[in-house]
Amino acid sequence: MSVTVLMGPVGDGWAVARELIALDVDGPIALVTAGWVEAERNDAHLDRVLGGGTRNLGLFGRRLDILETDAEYADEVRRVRSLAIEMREVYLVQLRHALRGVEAVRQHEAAARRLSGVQLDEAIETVRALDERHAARLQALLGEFYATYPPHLRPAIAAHRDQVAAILADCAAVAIAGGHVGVLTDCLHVCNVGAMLGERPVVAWSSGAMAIAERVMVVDDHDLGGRPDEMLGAGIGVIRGVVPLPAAKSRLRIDDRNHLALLARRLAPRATVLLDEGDRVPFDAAGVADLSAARVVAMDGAVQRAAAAV
Amino acid sequence: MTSTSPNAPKQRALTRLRAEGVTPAAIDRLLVENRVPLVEGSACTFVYRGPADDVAVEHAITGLPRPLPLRRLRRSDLWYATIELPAGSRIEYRMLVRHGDGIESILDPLNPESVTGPTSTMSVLRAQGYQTPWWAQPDPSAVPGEVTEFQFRSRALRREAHVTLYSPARMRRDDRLPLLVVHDGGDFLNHAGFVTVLDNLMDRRLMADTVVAFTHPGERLREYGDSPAHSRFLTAELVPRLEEQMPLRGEPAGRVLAGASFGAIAALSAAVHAPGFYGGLLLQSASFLYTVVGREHPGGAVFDPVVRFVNAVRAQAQPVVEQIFLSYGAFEPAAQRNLAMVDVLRRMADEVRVVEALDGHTWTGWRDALIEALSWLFPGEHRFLYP
Repeated sequence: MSVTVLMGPVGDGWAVARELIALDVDGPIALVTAGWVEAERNDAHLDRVLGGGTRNLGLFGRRLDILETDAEYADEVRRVRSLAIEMREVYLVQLRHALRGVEAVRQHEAAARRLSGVQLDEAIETVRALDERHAARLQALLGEFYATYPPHLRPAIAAHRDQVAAILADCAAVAIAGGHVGVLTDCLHVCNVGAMLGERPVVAWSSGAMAIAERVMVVDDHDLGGRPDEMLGAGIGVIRGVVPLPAAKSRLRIDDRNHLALLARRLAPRATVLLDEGDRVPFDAAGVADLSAARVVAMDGAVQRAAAAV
Repeated sequence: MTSTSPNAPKQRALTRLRAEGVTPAAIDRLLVENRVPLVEGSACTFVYRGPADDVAVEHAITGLPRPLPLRRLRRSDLWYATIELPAGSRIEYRMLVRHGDGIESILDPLNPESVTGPTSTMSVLRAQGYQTPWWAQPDPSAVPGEVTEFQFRSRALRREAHVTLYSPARMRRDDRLPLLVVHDGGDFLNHAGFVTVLDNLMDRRLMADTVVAFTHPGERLREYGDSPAHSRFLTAELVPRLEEQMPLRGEPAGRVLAGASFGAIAALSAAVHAPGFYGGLLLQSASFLYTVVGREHPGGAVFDPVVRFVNAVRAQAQPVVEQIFLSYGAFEPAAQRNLAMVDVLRRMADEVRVVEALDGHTWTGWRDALIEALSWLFPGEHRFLYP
């Protein structure tokens, strides 16, 4: 297990450079910018900020190449993606109703001037169970897919994985940038990067932080599509016990305590951690998070600092 | 000696003019120093300068006298009328100037801002806080979609059907994209900047990549007034043809019909004729004319089929689609009828979203509601982007 630092948005990237210096990294840095999708290779600025000589793993391009090279695999990916889209549509329908249920119970209790009790707990548990079931179903779908089409037996994938491993072998640390969290997570999965990290320190920010956690929760209270905060699925699970919510200031109604409490309880027993610019959560080599300076959402919706280690 | 607190309410321009004396030079100064119409907080003042027997504002705003007469300021050649408008409002108008028996309808000569619609050019009043949305303005950094034209012989319409097709910039052969069919395509393209809106929203991923087919009516009032032939054209000809030729989803959730005014009736009518075939409707300022008692209505013969259709829908609304987005202009005469239909629409769809724009029955008003409509009906991946 490696030392890992999760960060919020990093602006021009200097905060990443500072983290790598603090980690005493000696050697080239492997870059993951797959979340930038087509702009994956526009990494000149980041390379400069990190001192030059970075090695971009090119995961987005590799995924494209795999899909273009291995037609049978690509067809199956499309089929699985369609199933995942259908599953997500049904999940969102269920989720909307379950969230309305939470709100209805809360309002009923408020109208009756009662403190919210076990009924509200049950309504929230319904939502939490729905999230977990959705994540589990997606994992089962992918598990079945990978069992039928073992990636390491697909020549195109195996070749790319070998190349990624070879690049990583020369690198002293890994920097995982933000971007499209779904694409990034998928690229990390396909190239099996989680299993190749070894003892190298990892600095991951924004969706990079989300993608390496166990669960990816997408929140956007200002979503024009009116979609609720949703469980996108499993990350690659390099770090455990924490679900990062980057760009919380712009995405979340931070002053809505009920809303934050609901989120924290949906994600329990994992800790819900807000990651804005300047926020950081270090994990030691044993995978233990130091939350002493992190902003953690408590079960009552309060945002607390100086929480105990997870 | 007088002192002015920075927080003191500012005197309105015409009040200052009165106080300073209504001289030709002072009027010149007023017109040089101010944008016309004068917009001072919620007060908006139409101004006209010149000899006339009467001056009025020609408009279609519910709640204001039609036309809105201007008064002469003292004995000068400056005419004015002040109205109150909520922040963010926008209205279109022309000036009516009477000389003896002759009345001339002209653009406001003091206001350089105008907008051209399918039938006329109108002056534009932007109330405090109204701005052209960023996503309605061309952005050179947004990768544009491809616009192509095609025609085919429609058996249902018994004419050549002309379609303008928008394909998203990122479209790939193996995509399964949703389809939006827009009625009055030419007007939406020319007067609502629809392509610019699509380019911007898709580039920022505020809207999912979507193929958009803009249709062009033949005999518009006949085809759009609940014509079974037009519904057949959409459902049995156009959509299947596009789904065969383009990388489309080809299922109800991936099919949306859009239209404004009479075009909204055409969209709703096609969905009613094929329940479950379409997933969504984008209706803007729909021409919902109906009767409650008797059969008389103010729309004339051309509206007869519309009235029959809307009456039937109101009497027996059935679920036909999953989502309906309805927008209308708060100032347009049809606002109340659109609002009155919301409960009916709720019986026709799982989800209904209603947006009231502070505008009239205008193409710009319909354009300004598009971000809410398109990002709700075709939610994009913007929420998955964490830079």
